[in-house]
Amino acid sequence: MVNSGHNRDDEADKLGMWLFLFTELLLFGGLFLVYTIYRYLNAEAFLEASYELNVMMGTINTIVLLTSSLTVAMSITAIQKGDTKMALMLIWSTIAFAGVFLVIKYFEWTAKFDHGLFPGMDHYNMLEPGEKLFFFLYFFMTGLHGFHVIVGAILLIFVIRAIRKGETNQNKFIFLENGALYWHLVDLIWIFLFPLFYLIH
Amino acid sequence: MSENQKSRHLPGDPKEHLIVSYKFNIGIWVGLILLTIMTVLVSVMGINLVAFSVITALIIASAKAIVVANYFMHLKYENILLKILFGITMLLFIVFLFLTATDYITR
Repeated sequence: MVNSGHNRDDEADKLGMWLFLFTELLLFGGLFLVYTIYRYLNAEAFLEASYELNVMMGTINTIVLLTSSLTVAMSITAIQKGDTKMALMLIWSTIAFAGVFLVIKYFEWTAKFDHGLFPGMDHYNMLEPGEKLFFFLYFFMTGLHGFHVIVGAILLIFVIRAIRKGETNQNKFIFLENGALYWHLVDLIWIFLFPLFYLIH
Repeated sequence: MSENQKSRHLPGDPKEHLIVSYKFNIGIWVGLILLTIMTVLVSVMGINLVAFSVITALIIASAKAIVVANYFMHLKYENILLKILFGITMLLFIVFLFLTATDYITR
């Protein structure tokens, strides 16, 4: 093996990715804390406002994201077995599920816009403070999460490019593993967002 | 579980790299879907049990998170350094949430 001066260290690559994921945990953790405290202080208003959310759409989106996590986890199995074609197909399906998630989110948000519930709109301005907080946090947290979905999908497109070029292959798949780790984080955040906003009645 | 996972040496990789089978991944996914259905049912049916539904929702979400981290993110198969780091981070994170929350709530 030729030593190009760059010593490969997959363990270190993965450790770096996990450290980054820990910072993401702090970002969303802080927001979850804000939500919890304001929910405690405005229990009635939060309860009232949470009935505005569509549990059906939230549930479908949870299943979509869990399935996308499955396909990206399976793509690692595929590349380890040397089945590049299968790995590419599985990553593409993950990206497709990301698209489905965002389309459903789009319809959910549009429905809220139609009701004038986005911060600054007429209906929103007439709500009591607690309900305003709920919708503000709803748009901010699901919006930030949606942004992570887009970033995750773009990252996976780069992974696909690396596989096509042969840079990521059966013997060297840390880029796919790290891309998958980020994708699972997106799923993990949604696992907590979903019950907090949609289910706690 | 051990039947579902085969390990072997990969060139350039000093450690054994575990391959998690498709079947095992799908099994994990089925479990996660069942937990999701369970948490939705508890919420839709348990309208009168407010405190119960909050705690159940959070317990089920945590269970799902642990399953995703351990099996989809392969944390269970990682080296001890990563596990210790993960443990310390989670501990500090919980302390940080707990202290801030108690400060606000007891004012």
